Amino acid sequence: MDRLIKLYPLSNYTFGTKEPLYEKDRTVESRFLRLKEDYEKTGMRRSVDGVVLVHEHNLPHVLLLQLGSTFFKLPSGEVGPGESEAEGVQRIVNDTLGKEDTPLSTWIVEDVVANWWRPNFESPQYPYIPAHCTHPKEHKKLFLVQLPERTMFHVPRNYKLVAAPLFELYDNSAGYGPVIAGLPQNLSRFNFIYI
Amino acid sequence: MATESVSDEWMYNEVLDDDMPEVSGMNRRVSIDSTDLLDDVLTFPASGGGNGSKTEVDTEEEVDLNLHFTTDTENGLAGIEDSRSARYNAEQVAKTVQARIESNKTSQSIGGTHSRSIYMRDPNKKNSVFIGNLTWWTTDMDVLSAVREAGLGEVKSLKFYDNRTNGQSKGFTMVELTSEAVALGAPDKLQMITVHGRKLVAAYAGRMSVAQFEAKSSGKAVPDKQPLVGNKPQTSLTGKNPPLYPRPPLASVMGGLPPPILPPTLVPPELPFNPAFPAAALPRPPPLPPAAFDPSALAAAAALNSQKPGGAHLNPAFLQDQMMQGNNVAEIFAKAFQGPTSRPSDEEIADANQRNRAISSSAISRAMSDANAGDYESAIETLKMAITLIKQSITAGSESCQILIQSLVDCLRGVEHQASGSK
Repeated sequence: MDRLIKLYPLSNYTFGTKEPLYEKDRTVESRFLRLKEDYEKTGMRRSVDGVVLVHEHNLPHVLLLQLGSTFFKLPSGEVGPGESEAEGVQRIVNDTLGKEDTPLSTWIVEDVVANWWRPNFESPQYPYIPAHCTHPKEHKKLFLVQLPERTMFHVPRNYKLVAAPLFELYDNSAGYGPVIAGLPQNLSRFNFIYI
Repeated sequence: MATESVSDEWMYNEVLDDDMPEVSGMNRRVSIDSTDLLDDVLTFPASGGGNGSKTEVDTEEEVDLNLHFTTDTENGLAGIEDSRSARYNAEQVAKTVQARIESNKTSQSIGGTHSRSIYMRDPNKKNSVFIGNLTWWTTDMDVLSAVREAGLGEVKSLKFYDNRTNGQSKGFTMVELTSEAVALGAPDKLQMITVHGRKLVAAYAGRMSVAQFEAKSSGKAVPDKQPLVGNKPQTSLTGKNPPLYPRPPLASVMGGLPPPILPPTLVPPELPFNPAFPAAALPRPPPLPPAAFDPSALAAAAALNSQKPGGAHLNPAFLQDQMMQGNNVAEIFAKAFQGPTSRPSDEEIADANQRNRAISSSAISRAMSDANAGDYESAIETLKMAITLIKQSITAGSESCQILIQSLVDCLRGVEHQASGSK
């Protein structure tokens, strides 16, 4: 029953920078416009986020990309047609935190952590599909990524990589949004081994 | 938004330095513009109710923004766009409506602004109708087939009004039909249709409809925390004299003490979540009490709403009350109080009566002064709003209420007569 997840200390990892990685959409409007266009073409968007963990002082820390001073996000992206979710997670985490020559096996996709749905072409997302909604516009799936004992992260220059302790995220939707703020609850089912 | 960003920034500088090991990254600052991309966090404070003091104007802007229409597609569904309306809780609606009655600024009223946005955003609003009295689980597909059943053909677009906080449908939608000709008379046809055991309520998309549907939904779209079978019925919690402003479960949980038994459905439809930063550090204040609706009335009506014959989670305490074919809220409320478990106290009745009298007299006096000033439209609107309000009160079925409503209707007729004479 227990899902064992090994967490290594932050100090095991090294960090470098790489060329900036820009969002596909420049504004919120264009983001939802593209979502809508895509929806009309290919239906509901399948997004995946990677939950990459380390530990400090025996407390899990979630690696978050910081943009500006107040915005944080998980490595995330859209699963392509014909691509499996796990493949999508590996590709996206590697695009975000790896380099071309980083083996994809660095990022072991361990388990589903949470599901979120976007019922409209708007920002609200919920961890369930509202009952009146038969056609959600986006399904976001969060996956736990098991790191190797040591590796190097390559962080796009336009982001800062931070390791957020779970207590910082817990009950803090105002600071991190509901998806990230829900991670402490989502992750509580795992049995973390602090190495 | 600007001020929120500033305060967040300040907070984060503090927080990050202390708690969050910075593991990499050169650019501490990225232009604020780029953060706009990432609305999930940034819009959250706004959607949480803006420090508990979110104003009407903000929420209306939100409605305004959401009035997009899409075109139909082959399966008729890609065009469906749900909408989120402003976050009203019962208290806010009541306040707005009261203010509407009492203040003299017609154009800034809730009805006025909503309709303005509708008129401005959607020149084809004549094609659109509002459909209400839906359960929260009535789907877009259900509405489409109801429209078809009513012989109104295809739907060009459809948007649900829902509670932004939790995504729950408020029980009404705006439906754009194929033409004005089809829309003409559509409400009458739609009102003949029953969906999930409820008769539809429909209206032309016009000045008053959003406000009216909002008011109705705030009176009944209580989070349906259905008591599990076997739990004590809520009357054991509220007792003979239910607290006027019960603390909702969420607030009590936040306060550190889980509620001993989940008080079902006593929560206002939208919990005024406090997004004020730092959320984690401050205990959240209890939500504001619903002003215009008695909480026990809410509870009773919600209990009725959430019961469906044959449904899975039936509280036996309410089985006997589940006849709710009525198509207006007043009726549902009136029925709720025939139940042995949810009779309002004398105090509550007196309270409601007093409130209704106040609403009635201030509406009439204001309507008269508007009418005398030649503003018949505003006078009519005021009176209609007052009638709606009184019809939704817990004593709607009582004789005194009927008298009040009758006098308002008389007054309304008089004004309408005057108005037609003046043209």
